Amino acid sequence: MNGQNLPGQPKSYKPVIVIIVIILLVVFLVLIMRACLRSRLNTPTNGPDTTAGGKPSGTGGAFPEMREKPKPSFQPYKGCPPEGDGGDRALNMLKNRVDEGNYIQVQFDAVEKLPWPTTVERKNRSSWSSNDASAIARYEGTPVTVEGYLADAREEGPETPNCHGADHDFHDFHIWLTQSAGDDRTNSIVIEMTPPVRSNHPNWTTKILRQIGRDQQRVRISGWLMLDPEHPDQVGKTRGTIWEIHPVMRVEVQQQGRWIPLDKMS
Amino acid sequence: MRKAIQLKVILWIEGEDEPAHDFAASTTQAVKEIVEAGSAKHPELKVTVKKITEQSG
Repeated sequence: MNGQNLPGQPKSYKPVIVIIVIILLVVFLVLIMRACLRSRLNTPTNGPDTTAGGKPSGTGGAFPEMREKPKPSFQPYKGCPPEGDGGDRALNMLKNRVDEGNYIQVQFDAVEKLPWPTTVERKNRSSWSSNDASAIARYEGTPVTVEGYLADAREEGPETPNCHGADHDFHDFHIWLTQSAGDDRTNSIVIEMTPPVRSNHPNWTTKILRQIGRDQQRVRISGWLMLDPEHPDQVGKTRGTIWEIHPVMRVEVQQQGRWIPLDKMS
Repeated sequence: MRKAIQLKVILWIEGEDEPAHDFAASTTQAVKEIVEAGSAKHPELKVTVKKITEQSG
């Protein structure tokens, strides 16, 4: 019997082999599609284009999910360590990152409507549940570019991430980005310029930022998406979300159809 | 008549400290002690520090 084919045997195995081959092909195709999608989300965009009016890629307000986020990097700032001098040290480290990213252009709504679990509000990261931490980690740390208008810009006071430095060069700039010119802050996105980044951009001043806001010039903001759980009480009043672009790494202003870096404006 | 009042006081405190040292913790403790020491000047008032929180942006 060994090595002999029974009559009809090839016929009965043929359909099974065909089905296995089809299944393998489908699995292979699915794997290829997943790999393509993943590489698309992680592929650098070489920065936003320099012509104004480019259409954001996040269609329908969807926020792109980047599976592997760049690791933050830091530079010492006047003796203040990246974890600051107290409070939520993990949050402070996110605020004090200084690395540039390959920014993904997203619609204003995609950030403003991005949800968060309310159970993280007013809590240090170390006390978040693992489910909450995972939900935030899906989006936090994504390098984004968002377009809008500046409603206002204010210099903050001493804070833990900046080691409570009393001087101007230790203070954040708290800026409100709105979707349309002239909008109030109710649905704004808070964006923050931090001391370590500001130190490389002497032209970033609250005076210039306010002027840009008054002139209703469209801006393009690039930086890191971060959730600040400390101010949920402001939502619906002076901000639309506790998701922030923090720190801001680049600011460009639309002028005559071109995007001009704020560093080059006077 | 016995009266009571709840006051919110905003203090601005400056001082020299090591960059990474927890300034909020040390100043919070200092303010408690300052209030306690100052309340001795007014024995007719019973002063209780109920809460001290840092005001942040």
